[in-house]
Order: sequence, then structure tokens, then C-alpha cells
Amino acid sequence: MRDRWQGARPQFKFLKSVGMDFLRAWEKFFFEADAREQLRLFRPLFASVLFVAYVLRAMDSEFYYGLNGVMDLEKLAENFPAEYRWSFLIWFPSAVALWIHTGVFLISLITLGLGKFPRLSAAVAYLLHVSFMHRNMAVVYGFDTISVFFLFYLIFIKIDEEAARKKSSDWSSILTSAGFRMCQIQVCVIYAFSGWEKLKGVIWWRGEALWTIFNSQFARFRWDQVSHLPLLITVLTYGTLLWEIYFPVCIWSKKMRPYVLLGGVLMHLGIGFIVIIPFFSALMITSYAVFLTPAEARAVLRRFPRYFSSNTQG
Amino acid sequence: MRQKRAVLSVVLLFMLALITIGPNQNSYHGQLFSPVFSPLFAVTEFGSTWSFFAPDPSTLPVRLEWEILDERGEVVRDGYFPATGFPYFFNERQTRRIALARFFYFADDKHLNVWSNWLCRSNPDAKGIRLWKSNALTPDLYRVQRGEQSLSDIRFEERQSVGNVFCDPVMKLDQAAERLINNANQTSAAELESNLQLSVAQTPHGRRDAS
Repeated sequence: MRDRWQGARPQFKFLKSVGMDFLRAWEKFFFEADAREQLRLFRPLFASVLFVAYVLRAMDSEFYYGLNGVMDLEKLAENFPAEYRWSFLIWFPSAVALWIHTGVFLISLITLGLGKFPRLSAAVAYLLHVSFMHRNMAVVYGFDTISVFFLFYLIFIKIDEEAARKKSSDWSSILTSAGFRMCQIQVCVIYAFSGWEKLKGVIWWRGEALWTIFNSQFARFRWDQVSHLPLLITVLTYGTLLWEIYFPVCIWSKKMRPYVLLGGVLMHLGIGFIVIIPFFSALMITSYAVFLTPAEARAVLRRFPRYFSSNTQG
Repeated sequence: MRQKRAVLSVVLLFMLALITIGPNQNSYHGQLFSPVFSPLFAVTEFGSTWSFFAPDPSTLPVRLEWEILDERGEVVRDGYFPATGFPYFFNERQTRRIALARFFYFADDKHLNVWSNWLCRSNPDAKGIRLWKSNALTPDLYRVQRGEQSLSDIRFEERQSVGNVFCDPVMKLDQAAERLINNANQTSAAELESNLQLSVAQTPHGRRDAS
């Protein structure tokens, strides 16, 4: 019995050291990331994309969310499982409430972009965003569902220059670091699941999926000429598959990261050009800001108007 | 601070589980955690699935079609949604309309219950609505290559009936039956009976201001 215990001790030591290494790595990864530059770039861009998209949606607010709109409140309760789903627009369904809801939502996006009361702004924007979604799930698409996560993570993020100068690891910096990492992981999760789902599709396996997308209801142009380039369609289809599946792995490699990001920018520019979901493309490209190094983010910020680089703290 | 970090670590682990189980809720582990996660998904909207253009792109153009009927069951006018092409200066407006149409296209029950309700409310003279859904077929790559087909001539070739609904909530059952019998010269008795039951089940769709 004693021999066995003595034999096991080095294993326990090994396990303990592995565990401690893991904990140190975990803490370093989630709690000590210096993400100020990346977030100074990401947050205003993200808020701007959302602001423009939702100003356009506001033009059809009455149709989507109004009392006389497509989703009658009675029918909403009957046809959509309402347990745990909530919406201010269900509790206050009047037209005035709808416009107040829309106005406060848009203002919260502006203040979020400007870095004024960033956490409060993100929290308000998140709640009102979900409230809109629950009022009418039929008009929700990828752009809205992805925004949910980023708005939620931004609730924890505050770019505190003062704390950074003092190199203090206060609670606020830890929360910011954790929020930043969750933004990164979220992008990886989106691409991973999106890629794996595509693997189930026969048309993706056949290499013709891009052709179907070229002909979709969302397609901006009708390009018969593409049919003369079947090899291009196949290459782009498989390229999309490979890129999405391997993004979550390759993005963490220093050597591969620039190429992965470049591939993503090209892919989303292509999607934005071919298919009428430009805000979705803009959102995904914007999310790449969280994968830049501080120096790269600073370099990009320098190219923006001075306002972005100086007034987006907080 | 150490305790706070430990608590935050637990929260992060929970959050990681949430965002990885959310897109795969039908899996074994998804079902296992569903008593805890399902309410959270509903409250927070963290349960999204990520399947852009997957597993099959199936982005065939679709539209919702309808015929507005008068008291005698005759077509007053017809319409479809969404509008063809991109009628708005900002395409985003059309994108959401397409999303809305696709939602009802793939959910016949909601098409019958929700979309018809809106049609009834927005067409005060409607006594009934006949609902259809149609889709275009994706042109074959090789036929387009040979010039036998063109992408620009998309036609909504496949049309399916979704059902009929009465707009007027006070429409009497016997009136409905009488109308069905009058319009059913070529229908067998069994079909007539099932139609009648279907129509009666759908009668409560009413205009908000109908009373």
C-alpha cells in the first residue's frame, strides 16, 4: 500500500503542476489581455454598423413591430412559445412606446460608439435589442443574432487608460479582458459551427454551393457568366468550407493570423458585394478588430479621423 | 481579488458552455443541460444556431401569394410578398422583407395564423383569404452554361396552396358551410367534410376592428 502511494506521488505532482500551469494560462488568457487598442477600434466601428442598420430598420418599425403591423400581439402569444421570452414592446405596445424604444436604442448605440457610459450604454442597447427580437422573431436574421453576443460582452468592457498607465490589475481591467476574450471566442464559435453545418450539405460537398448563392433571392446581380467558370465556383465553395472550419484554430497562430484575417475580409467583401447583406459583412469584418495586435490596431486607428483615435476611450 | 477571479472563472466556464451548447441544443449534452439552459436561451437569445447557407444553401427565391375574396368567395384582387427585385434605395429594407417571407414560407401554420391575420387587417374589405406560397427553381449550372437558361428569367414555377381563411370572426358556421357546398361541385363528400372542418378551425382570424 505504501509503495503504491509513493509511486503515485510523482504523478500527483505532475498533475498538480499541469493544473497550476493550466490555471496560470487561463488567468493570463482571460484576465490579463491588453486589449485597449483593439477595443478602441472595435467598439465604435461595431456601434456605427449597428446604428446605420437599425436606423434603416426603424423606417419599417410600424410594419414589423407596430400594433397594426404584421405580428399581431394576440397571434404572437398564440403562435410563438412565449415562456421566458420578454419584450418591452409586448408590455407597452403603443406607437409612442415603439418610437421611444427605437430612439433610446439608437441613442444607446451612439453613446456606446463614443465611449460615453460604455457599460451602461451596452447594457441598454443589449436589452432593447433583445426586446425588438422577441417582439417579432420572423424578421430576425444573422446580423441580429450575432449583435446580441457582442452587445452583451461589451457590457463588461471599459477602456480605462488610467488603470493601464498604472499597470494595475483592478476588477474593471479584468472584466474588460474577459469581455475581449469572449468576443474573440464568439467569432471562433460562429465560424466553427457554420463550417461544420456546411459539411452536412450535399451541395457543399459537390462544390456547387456558391452557384446556388449566386442565384439566391438575396443575390444582388445575375451573373450568367459565372456558369462558364465552374472550377472557380468549386474552388470558392471548398475554400469557404476550409476557411470557416479552420478559422478557430488558425487564428491563434501568429504566422497564419494575417492570412486568415485577409481571407475573411475578402470573403465577406465578396458576400457583401454579391448578396444583399452588406451589414452582416460589415459586422463580421468589424469583429476582426479583436484579433489584431495592439500595434496593428493602433496603425488602423491612425488612418481614421482623429476623433476615433482620441475620443473613444471610456 | 483571488476570490473574484475564481467566481469570474466559473461564470466564464458557464458562458463558454452556453455559447457552445446553444448552436447544438439537440445533442445529448444539449438535452442534458436543457432544463437550465433553455430558459436562459429564451431570455437572453444566446441559443442561436450558426448555419449561414447551410447545410444546403437552399436559397431558392420564395414568395407568399394571396387572393382576397369577397362574400361570394370570388377573387377581388391578389398580391404577393416580397416585391420583386430591390425596390428600396437601401437594400437592407428588402433583406428583412425577404427574411420575413422565408420565415412564413417554411412555417405553414404561422403563415396561416399570423400572415393571414395581417392580410385581413390590412384589407378591410376582405371576407376571406386564399393563401399560396411559391418558389423559383435554381437554374441548372450546366444549362446556363450552354445558354439554354438565364439567371435573369427567374419564374416562380412551383406553387402550393397553404389554405383558406375567413377574415370575418362573426361569420356563421352555416354560412361557411353553405358557401363551401356551393363551391364544391367537383369535390367528394369526404373532402368536403375535411375542408369544412379545416375552415371552421381557421374561422377565428379576425380584424382587430372587426367587432
